[in-house]
Order: sequence, then structure tokens, then C-alpha cells
Amino acid sequence: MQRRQILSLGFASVLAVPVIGQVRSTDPIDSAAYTIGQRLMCQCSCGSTVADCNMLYCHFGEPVREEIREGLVAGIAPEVIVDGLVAKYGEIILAEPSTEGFGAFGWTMPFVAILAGLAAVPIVIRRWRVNQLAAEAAAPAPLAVDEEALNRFKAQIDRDLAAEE
Amino acid sequence: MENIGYLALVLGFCVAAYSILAGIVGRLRNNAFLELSAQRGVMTVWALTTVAAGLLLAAILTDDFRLNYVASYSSLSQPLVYRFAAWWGGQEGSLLFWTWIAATYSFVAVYTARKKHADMISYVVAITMTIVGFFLGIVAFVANPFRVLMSGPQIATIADGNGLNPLLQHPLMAIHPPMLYLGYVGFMVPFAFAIASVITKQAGDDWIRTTRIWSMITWLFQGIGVLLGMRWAYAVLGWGGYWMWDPVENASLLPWIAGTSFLHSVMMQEKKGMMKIWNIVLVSATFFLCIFGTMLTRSGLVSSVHAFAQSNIGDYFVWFLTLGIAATIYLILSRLDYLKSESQLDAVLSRESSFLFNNVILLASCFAILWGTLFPVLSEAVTGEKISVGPLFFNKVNIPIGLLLLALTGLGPLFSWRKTSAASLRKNFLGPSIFGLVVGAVLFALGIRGLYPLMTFILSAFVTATVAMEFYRGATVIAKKQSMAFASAIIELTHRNTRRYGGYLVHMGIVFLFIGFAGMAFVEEGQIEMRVGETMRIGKYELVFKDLVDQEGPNYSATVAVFDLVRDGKILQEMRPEQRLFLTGQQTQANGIPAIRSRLNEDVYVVLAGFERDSKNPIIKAYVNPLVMWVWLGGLTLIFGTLIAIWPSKVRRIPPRTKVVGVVGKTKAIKETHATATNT
Repeated sequence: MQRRQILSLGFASVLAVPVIGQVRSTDPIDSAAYTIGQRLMCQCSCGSTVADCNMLYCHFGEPVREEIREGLVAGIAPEVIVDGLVAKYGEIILAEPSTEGFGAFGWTMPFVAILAGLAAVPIVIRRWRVNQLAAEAAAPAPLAVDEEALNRFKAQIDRDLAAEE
Repeated sequence: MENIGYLALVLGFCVAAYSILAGIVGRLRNNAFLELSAQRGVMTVWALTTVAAGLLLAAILTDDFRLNYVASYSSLSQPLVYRFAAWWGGQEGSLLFWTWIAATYSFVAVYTARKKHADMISYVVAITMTIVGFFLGIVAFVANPFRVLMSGPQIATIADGNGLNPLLQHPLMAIHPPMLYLGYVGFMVPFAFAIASVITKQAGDDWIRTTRIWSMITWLFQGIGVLLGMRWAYAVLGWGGYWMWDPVENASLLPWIAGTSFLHSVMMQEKKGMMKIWNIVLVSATFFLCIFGTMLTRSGLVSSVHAFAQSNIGDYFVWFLTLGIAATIYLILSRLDYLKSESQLDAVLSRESSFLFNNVILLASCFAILWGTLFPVLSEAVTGEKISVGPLFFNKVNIPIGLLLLALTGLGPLFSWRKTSAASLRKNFLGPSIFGLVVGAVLFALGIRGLYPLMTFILSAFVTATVAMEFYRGATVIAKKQSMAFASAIIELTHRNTRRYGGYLVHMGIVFLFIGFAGMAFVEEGQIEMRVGETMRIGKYELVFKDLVDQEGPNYSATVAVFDLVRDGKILQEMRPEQRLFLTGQQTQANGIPAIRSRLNEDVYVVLAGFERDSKNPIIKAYVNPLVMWVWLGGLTLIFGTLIAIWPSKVRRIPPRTKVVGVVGKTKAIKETHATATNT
């Protein structure tokens, strides 16, 4: 039994949870507590949320989970519970940046990058097309090509296209 | 022995510095003697690094606990395979391992390409030796693996070492780091050739042809490394998942994504001579992301459960990255005239356009992950308060991007090079689109409601149909023409163009991966304190707690909880999650190993999470994880597809290049084919 005690104290496997995991619980308090816990980052260096930290006797996760439960049982609104925890531990406890202040900047940038990239695509394509048309316009005067040679080239192009498709 | 090892490192550093100088001066002065000397320097650096690595390995295997590194990461009771793994289990040893792989790659790259690329090989030498030299400098002067334990002025030894972290004592961990390092380090070769071609103002794409195999193999290694890391996390860490968006995990994913973008983009250069600058930028970005990932794991810049101990080597990496990126940007800007595209876009609806979208989406994903990883550091620097960025952020940002990518995986191959007609699009899109929508409707009728999972399944069906159509069309023609069985025709088709059809298989691997990811939206889990004889219900299963037994391992003691997994009154399997207690040196460390029952539809995952504080009863955590098996199947398919793509085609293809040489009348352009497919 002593070894199990050591095990129980020493066990420190990290956790986390499924990337988009959900817990199905019949107890509404448990369910609400889990949802709130997922919005908060555990500070025990496990790298997971308070809801998902399965570090046994976690010095941070356990009391915070208890605090959340107590708040819910007392009928306190989830937002108020979260605000209270942020006031107590700082913004670092939030699992994602807030949508205000510098946090909003954090949220915006990835989408700005995507939009900028997507907006650049038509511009690049148009530039390529303009260059292509310019190349065609700047090409030498119409060449005198005999039909036989032309047909040979056309057939080659068709073969290439067919091979590529 | 430690003195010889250390001397080898210092000499290696000096020879690397010599090779850089000899290579550059030799090339500038056209001095063949110096150039050859620089190449031999590469071989010498490899030999010296091998000596150092061999001596460290020998010290580990012979339990030389005078060395601080051996005492820290090995122990007498450690099984042989994990003693070997101790080489890369700690900061100093893993840096030496990194350096040794880099020296080996440099040696192979320089000696296989020295004749074909005689005009640029000296610059390749200089670049690879700069990288190897930097790491040799770190290992020799900052993180020396040959440091001995001292007691006052005397060299001291201890009876037994601390041993490798128990979490790393798993077969997957014995191969995961080498695979990842082979990937991280390997991108230096295409980078070196790309930069050498820029320096020598070579407008062509010889460097791409030379490094194509390098790029694919290193990309494959990187992918295998990431997948093994996921599998290890799933099989060892006991949290029921395989990816938690940890900074170190992200660091391994970033170069893989950038590399994916590069592998697609180079096809534009090979086929059309387009995007030359972009390809240099992409291969450089991939390489620098590899260095960045190495720095992130080792510097303590961000907190991570996977990181090595914090150290001061981060500053050196920051300097290396800053100077390297600045030099690369300068070189590209100074050679813009030589890097212009040879041809332009023939039509908006074309494979070229789809590649452009592919690049944008991949890089957007790369940026989003990088941004999320560094945002805590950035927020602290700007506001003074650290803002956490957890899995929620990464999921919200990356799931839509991932779905866009999945869509492009199916859409891209439907476009032809140069131009796609509306009729061809209709013909190619109709079937797969209908199939995707039917699959979506069926799943909706079966009760699948989540937008993202539903989208994933619809797009997966769409991509699967497009890939199946490609194989079906090609194989049907071959089967008809050569009177061949359809299955043989598929093999023949693949063998004729391994790159193309291997690529399709890789796309199928991606589809399987996404199906696996989508399954995580339907996870069920539960955690209770149990006594022997009690039953836990999870999903449609019951776990009957039969016994709690003690076991002895080679270097640990374990407590095993024995369960019967029951469904509808029938025993399916015995499950034995365990907690291991490692007693090494003066330390005691515990680690839980879950029991997993994997099937195509779902996994049952049981963890002995610990023991209740007062009653000492076991605490059992169980998960039902749908579709996880598809992640591993996807990984295997991706590996198989990449190997096929690397395999030489039966019909050797040199991508035909076209350019406008004149105009007939107003609309017809004559295209001159520069290269044609030739049978080998």
C-alpha cells in the first residue's frame, strides 16, 4: 500500500483532452463547471485547461474547479465566476485571448493574414494574365508558318495536355 | 575519453570554419585546390562529429557516470534501447545528435552533387558548414555533453545515474526524436542548394531537381516524427488525446506545413518556370522554421511539457536566425532580376491558380499556429501581462483553415495545367460533389449535427471521389488498351507516374487524418473512484473492475488495474491500465500507461489516473474516442503515398516547358515544346 501511496503522490502524468472534446454529463452543475473550466488555463504547467487537467491533486486545477462549483451552486453567473477568477489570477488564466484590448489583436491577426493572402491571389493572377497578354502583344509579327508544321505543333500540344490530364 | 570527444568537437568547429572560408575564397578566386579542400573539410567535420557522437554513446553504454550527461539521463537498470535513446534524451546529447545528422547530411549532399553542381558546390559547402559550425559551436562551448562531474578539484563519479525521464521510456520515444531530427535537419540541404543557386545567379531550376528527393524524404521524416509524437502522446500520456497544441508540438508542425507548401509550389517552377522567388522564400522559411522549432524546444522561450530544461542557448539561436534571415532576404532582393518567371498564366481557371490558393491557405495556417504559439511572449513584451493561448484558440482559428485545405485537396487535381474548360470542370466536379452531398445527407439523417464534423465528412467524401475518379479513369484506359485486369492496371498506372498517383495517395492520407480529427468531436469520458468488483459505464460499454495487481518491470514496479470490457453482457477484452514507478538513482518517478482497445469506429481508452487521497482506492478515467484509428491509418497512407511518389516512375517525365515564340493571326499562339516525355 505504501507504494501506492507513493504512486498516488508521485503520479504526474500530463493531460489534456481531445482537441474538440465534449463531456456528456447528466448533472447540470458538472456540465456547467466543465464548460467554464474549459475557458481557463491550468497553471500547473500541464499545458491544459482547468477542466481537462487530470494532474492528481493539482495545486491549481483542483481549487479552481472547486471555486467554480461553489460559485455555480451559489447561483453565480458563469461570466461573473470567470471575471472573479481573472481578477484573482490575472488574464493569464484565460485559455484564449479576450476579445478586448491586446487580446483582440491576437484574435484578429490570423484572420487578417488569411484575408490578405486570399485578396492577394486575384491580384497576382491578374498580374500574371496582364504579363501574358503583354508577352503575346509584344511577340514578333505574325509568322509565316506552313500548315503542316502548325498541325504538328498542335498535335504535340494536345498530346502533352492529354498526358497531363 | 571525454577529452578526445571534446577535442573532436572543437576541431570540428575549426574545420567547419575553414571549409566556409576555403569554399567561398576558392570559388571567388576560381581556385580548384581550395574548393576541393573545402569539400574534404566537410568529410573531416563529419568524421570528427562521428567520433564525438560515438564517444558519447560509448560513455552512455558503458555507464560512465563521471560524465554529467550520462549521470543525468542514463542508469544501470535502464534497458539497452533506452540507454541508446539517452543520446537524444537531454539537451546536450540531443544537440550533438542534431549536429551529427547535419554533418552526415552535408557530407552526403556535397559528395553526391559535387560534379553535377561544380559551379555552386562550394557555396553549398559554405552554407551547410555554417549551419553545422553553429551547432558545433553550441555543443563545444555552451552545451558540452562531455562535462565531467567535479567534487572540488577532483573528477567525481556516482554509483548510478538518474535515468531517462520515464515518459520517454517507451518504444515510440526511441524512434520519434530521430525521425523528427532527420526531418528538421534535412531541410538544410534544399535550403543550401537554393541559396547557392541564388548566389551564383542561376536562373534555372537545377537545384530543385537535385533536391526534390531530399525535400520529399525530409518532409516524410518530419511527418513520421510528428505522427509518432502524436501516437506516443496518445499511448503514454494518458489524457485521452494526441494533440494539445503545445508550443513544442506546434514547432514540429510548422516546418512540415511550410514544406508541404514548398513541395506543391516547386511543381509550378518545374512545369512552367514560375514562382522562382517564391520557392526560394518557401524553402528558406521552411529551414528557418526548423531552426526556430529547435530553439523553441531548448530555450525556455515558451513553457511546454515537452521542452528541455531552460538554458541560455536561446540567445545564440536568436542571433543565428536574425543574421540568417537578414542574409537570405538581402540575397533574394539582390538577385530579383535573375529570378523572374519564364512564363505567365494562360488562364485563370488552371492548376496554377489552385496551387496559388493552396500556398496561401497553407501559409495562413502556418502563420496562425506561429502567431498563437508566440502570442503569450508577444503579449508579455507589449503589455507586461502574459496572455495564454490554449487549444480553444488554435481550434477556432485552424479548423476553418483546415477545412479549406481539405476542399483544395480535392479541387486542385481537378484543374488542368494551363487551362481548364468549363465543360471539363462540370464533368469533373459533378460526380464528387453529388457523392459528398449524399454522404452529408446520410450522416445528417443519422444524427450528426455539428457543422465542422459534418463539413469534414462531406469534404472527405468529395476528395475521396475525386481521387477514385482519377485512378478509375486512368486504369480503365490502360486496362482496355493492354487487356489487363483492373487491379493490375491501377498498379501500372501508378508505376507510370508515381509522383502524381503517390501524391493522390498522400491526399487520401490527409482525408483519413481529417476523418480521425472529426471523431474527436464526439468523445465521451468519465472518471470515478472504484473498488474491485464495481462497474463503470462509459458510452455503450461497461468496465468491470476485476483486480488490482503488482508487477515488476525491468527498471520499474507497476500497479495494474485489471478490467473486463463488456458490451451487451459480452466480455470483449481484458484491459490493464497501469501505473509504473521508476526507481532510478535518488529519484522516484511515476508514469501511467493507459489500456487502449482500438477499432475502426472507436477506441476505448482506460487510465489508472491515481489513487484517492483518503480511501486509497484507484481513480479510473475512461474515454470512448471515435475514429482515432483513422488518424493512424491516415498517417500510414501518407507515408505509403510519399514512398510511392519518391519511387522512380516507369515513364521518366521531364516536365514540358512552354513559351510563346510568335503569334499566328490574332488569337493562336504557337507553343514550342522544350522537353518531351521520353520512355526509359
